[in-house]
Amino acid sequence: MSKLSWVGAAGILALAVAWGVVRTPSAHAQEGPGAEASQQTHAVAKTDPTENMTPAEIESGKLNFQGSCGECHGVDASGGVGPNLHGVVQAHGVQFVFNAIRYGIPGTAMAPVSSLNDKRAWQVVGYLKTLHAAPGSMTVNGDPATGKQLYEQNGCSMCHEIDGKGGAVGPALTGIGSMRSPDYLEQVLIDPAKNPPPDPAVPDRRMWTGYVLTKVVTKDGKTFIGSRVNEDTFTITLRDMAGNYHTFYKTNLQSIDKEIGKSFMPSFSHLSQTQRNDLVAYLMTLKGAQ
Amino acid sequence: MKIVRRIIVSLGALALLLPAACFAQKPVTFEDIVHSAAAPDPGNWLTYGGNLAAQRFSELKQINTDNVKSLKVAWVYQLGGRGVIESVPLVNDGIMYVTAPPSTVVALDARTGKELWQFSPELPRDLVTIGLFPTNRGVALLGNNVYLNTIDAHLVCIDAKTGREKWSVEVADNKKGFADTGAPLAINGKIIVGVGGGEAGAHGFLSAYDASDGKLLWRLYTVPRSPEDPGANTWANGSWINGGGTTWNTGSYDPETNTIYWGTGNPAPDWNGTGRMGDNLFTCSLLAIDANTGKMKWYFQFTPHEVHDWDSSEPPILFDAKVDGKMRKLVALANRNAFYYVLDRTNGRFITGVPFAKQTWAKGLDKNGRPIKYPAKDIDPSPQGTLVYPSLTGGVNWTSPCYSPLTGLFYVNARDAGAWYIQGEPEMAPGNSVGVVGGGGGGGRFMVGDQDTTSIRALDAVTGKRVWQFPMTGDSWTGVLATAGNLVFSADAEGNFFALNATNGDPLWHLELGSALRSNPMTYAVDGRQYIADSSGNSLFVFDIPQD
Repeated sequence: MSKLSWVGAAGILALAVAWGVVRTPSAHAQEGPGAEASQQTHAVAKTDPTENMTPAEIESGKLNFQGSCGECHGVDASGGVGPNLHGVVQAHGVQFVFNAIRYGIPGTAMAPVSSLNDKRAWQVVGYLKTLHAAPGSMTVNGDPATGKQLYEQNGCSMCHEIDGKGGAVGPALTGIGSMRSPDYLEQVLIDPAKNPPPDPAVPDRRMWTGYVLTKVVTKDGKTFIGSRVNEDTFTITLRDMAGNYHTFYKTNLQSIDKEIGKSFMPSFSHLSQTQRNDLVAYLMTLKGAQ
Repeated sequence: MKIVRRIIVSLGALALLLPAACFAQKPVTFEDIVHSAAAPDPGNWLTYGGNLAAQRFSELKQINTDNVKSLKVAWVYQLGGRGVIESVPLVNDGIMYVTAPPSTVVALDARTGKELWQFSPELPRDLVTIGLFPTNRGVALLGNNVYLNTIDAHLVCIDAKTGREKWSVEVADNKKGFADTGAPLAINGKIIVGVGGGEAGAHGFLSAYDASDGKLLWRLYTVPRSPEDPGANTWANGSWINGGGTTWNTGSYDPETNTIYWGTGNPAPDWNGTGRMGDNLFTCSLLAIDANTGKMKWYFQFTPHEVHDWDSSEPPILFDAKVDGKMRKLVALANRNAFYYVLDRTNGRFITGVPFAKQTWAKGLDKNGRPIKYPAKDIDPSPQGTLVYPSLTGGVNWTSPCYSPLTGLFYVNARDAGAWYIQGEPEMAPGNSVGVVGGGGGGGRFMVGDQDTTSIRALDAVTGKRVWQFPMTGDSWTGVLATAGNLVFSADAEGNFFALNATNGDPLWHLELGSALRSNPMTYAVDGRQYIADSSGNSLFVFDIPQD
């Protein structure tokens, strides 16, 4: 029953589906415009159900978060396809987060989470509420002003865009401060290929690993290296460091190697801990257009 | 095109000269359906599965391995904003009947794609669609009628000539979560109708209606409704009350023995079986049913006590073949649980069962075909997620495999992805007042991108042994068509519709259609010209080989 469903849903609602909140096939079905969830009158709790939650309930919320939300928001809630949620309850309140889980956020890829009923959704809210001071939280010790200088000195803008300025080899960083945790950003500075971000270019490919460094060798012996932009059964398109696109028919290639574990981005492990903190502090100030 | 025009013109002239009756579209007889997509008139595709055996095989061979490289778009029909087409068109005597979400039927001239009429039933504003997408997969034809299952669980009989409703009957109460997306099956004087809605706690059943007036002839429940009913002892503590075992896809039919073959869906609640210990009959099973009485002749349960959403609703394909040197009547099913099964269709006895896609839930099958499952702690859903192959969407889902009697191969679009299965705390109620899928029984996190791959696989239909495969990029949701032109048609997730050599899987032709194809390809002929049809996004594409 579910199954039939999400196929279609996926097609029409490519975006919503691709983000796939809890991906019961059925869930997708309900992500559609006019799905019944969005027509419901949103229940408003009279009291805050996360007050006086037991540790067991918080733990249940954590498990359910990992299972139902982790695919997009990261199993530790530090962000993935969807934003970092550390501090989200403090910023927006429990009812907002509850409503986002149960009814989705219209106009965004946040669809109703069909595997969580009211009780469990509140437990997830209770768990998220505990994350404000946990590792990976939004607070970071560093000087954003120094970080901005380091960003410029290290040539980051050659590959990354902020507010419309900069290169397009790597992901745009305009809103990175609301999408990612400081821990994640520091990890990327040290080992950029370890946990590459999802594919940003084409909505249909949102759940694909992005920036996959790919080497192809043509049948006449030419080698091309680039970041994979698109791939289907018959073709593959790479984008080189200069931003040029190269599309190949697979029948003309003798090999395609996706170099998992490699990235165009160099490691910045040579920076001092203080410098990395400053850089991360600067990046965390980039909240994008609100 | 000139030739076609000339034929149309001359037919038009004939129509002026002859009495109207001579030019009228032929009504569809049961005998026609028995010979659908086959001699004497292989140009007609009169039933969802191509023929009643659900082989999705056509005897047409004008388009073949030699000329398929010249295949071109003949016409495109765009449905507008209604959503992705999942429907298999039927074609009778030059008229095509295709459906659009949620429950619209469109009649088209099969040569030109020009619209003749449209029918949309009135649907309730407070439509309940829990656990399913409001789509439609196609109609049935019989006599001068078109039969439509609607999303609010009605069977509607439409005049094939005018598009006007003749009658409509409620199959089940949509308020209780019942909804229909599958195509009905027309047999001799009867319309066989399944139901969907298992995630809403719908209690599955299959019904037969009188094709002339919509009178209910019989109804077979797939899950017990009282402690005395067969199978009730396989549901601990009366847990059959939550239902499941819906019948949302289309089955097959053997006219020789007057037997219907139909698959059943998962037990309810989904993903959490702790409240329904036991085998949960007759969910996740294939049922053989006497078409006259609606009595079950036999059943075969593929996945006892199912907890991963692996419905057994996949089309059961009927064929005859030699097993150990002896000709046998067989039924084959590529199951969502990633095993390929062959049974004796006269008695349901297990013959073959082998994985056709990656699976990590069973060590294998025993001599009776019952799975030898790994320990529950390793495979059952858990609150934080348990990684199991195949994924919730299965080794294959609702899209149809096909069988070619010419190659003796069974072709299936197989998925090799896993998922982290999540166990919830279900709260079931009729109509699912909890308002969440499976009553909150759980769900899963999917593998995505490069980890989620699909391949067209050709299996020896008797042994299930893989003969070839055609790996694709991405998660394809397209069925497979086989033709006497020794071709197999399907599509990848990125919108490439393609033709493969049915013998060895060599790609012979492909065209990017711009959006994923979420339906089953079919083929038909009009005026001696063969066409291939499938839908990409919300457009129906029809192909042929230009002849001038």
